[in-house]
Amino acid sequence: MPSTMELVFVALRERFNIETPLTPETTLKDIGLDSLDQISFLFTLEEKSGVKIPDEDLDKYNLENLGQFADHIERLRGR
Amino acid sequence: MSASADRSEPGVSAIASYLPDCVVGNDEIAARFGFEREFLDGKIGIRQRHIARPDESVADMAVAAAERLFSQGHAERSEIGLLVLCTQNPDYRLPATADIVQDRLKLPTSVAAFDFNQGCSGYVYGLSIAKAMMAAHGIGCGLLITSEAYSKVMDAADRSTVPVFGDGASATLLRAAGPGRLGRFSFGSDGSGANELIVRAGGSRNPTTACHGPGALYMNGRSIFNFMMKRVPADVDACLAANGMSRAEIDLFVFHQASRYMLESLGREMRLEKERVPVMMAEFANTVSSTIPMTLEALGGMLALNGKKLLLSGFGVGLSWASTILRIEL
Repeated sequence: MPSTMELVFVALRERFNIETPLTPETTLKDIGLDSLDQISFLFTLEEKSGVKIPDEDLDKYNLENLGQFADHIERLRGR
Repeated sequence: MSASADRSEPGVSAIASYLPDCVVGNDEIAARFGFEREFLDGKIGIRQRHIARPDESVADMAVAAAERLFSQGHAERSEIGLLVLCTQNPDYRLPATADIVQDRLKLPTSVAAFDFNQGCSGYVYGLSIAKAMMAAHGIGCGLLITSEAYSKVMDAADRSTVPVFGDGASATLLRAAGPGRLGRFSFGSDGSGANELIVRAGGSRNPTTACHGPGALYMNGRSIFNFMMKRVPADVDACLAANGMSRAEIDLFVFHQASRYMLESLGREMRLEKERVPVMMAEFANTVSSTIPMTLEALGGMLALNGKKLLLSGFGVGLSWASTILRIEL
């Protein structure tokens, strides 16, 4: 079973056809995602992880880089 | 709304809207921008947007919405004493589009007609302006028109704005003692966020820049989302307090229809049940100042909403926000 971090990488690569290397420190801005893309990325992450991620969590939890997204999914799964 | 509200005050009497014939559906948006259909249908909550033809202007749409209102027999043209038109894309830099619309609608030349520039808060602002002018000057019958065509200033390749915005117009008839009783209003403005939703071209700062490329509509959606989450709940509570009401007394919170995910986030933040926050923009998209009247119409109009207490709240470009209470007593 892939780790949550791998799941985030796969979601991003599949959704936006990204070929450049991704690390936990890579931010959505680094990849050039605009605001609607960021919501679209959350939508894909929800589908892949089966975890509902409220849109307001982007700012409530200051989600910027991919490691933070993985940690947040783990946090939501733990609830 | 306080029990002392004067029943002879101007109130909403009828609402009609107009959407252009040209429709851009999600198949086209998905193919053009690579979004999933499920994302556009479910998350954004928009299935289609109506786009004005190249030769169709804000005045054309305004006239079409008002003609619909007149064709329903709600008023005679000779009765109209006020025409307030809300748009950010007037037909010309001058004269005011409202004057053109007055002539096209064959309204009396005694009518007071003018434009005002507001976006998503514009309908609530317009209700306040119309109500106040009618009361101050003894005008028995007034017309508030919202008409917007963001498609004219959008970059066709912009994936942040093209999927979200649609064109259209609404016409609202206000009458002295009209059955849609308007409460007190709350307003807010924060120009420090002006750059978050802006068209830089065409005004006095950049008069000759074209409204495409760098001059096209720019929206920082995440910033607008944060603004909404911060300002709107407080404004709603300020409006309720001004009217001596609580959230529990409101049947429906009719918010500006920005997108489904924005309204659902707002509803969650304010702990409002989903059924009290209508999400109705699927067929008309974000038509800026027209989404609130279009939602009222989509909910069945004055007849279906009879007896309801509604809170209307508009927010967006400016940044600007405004709320009021609409209580319908037919």
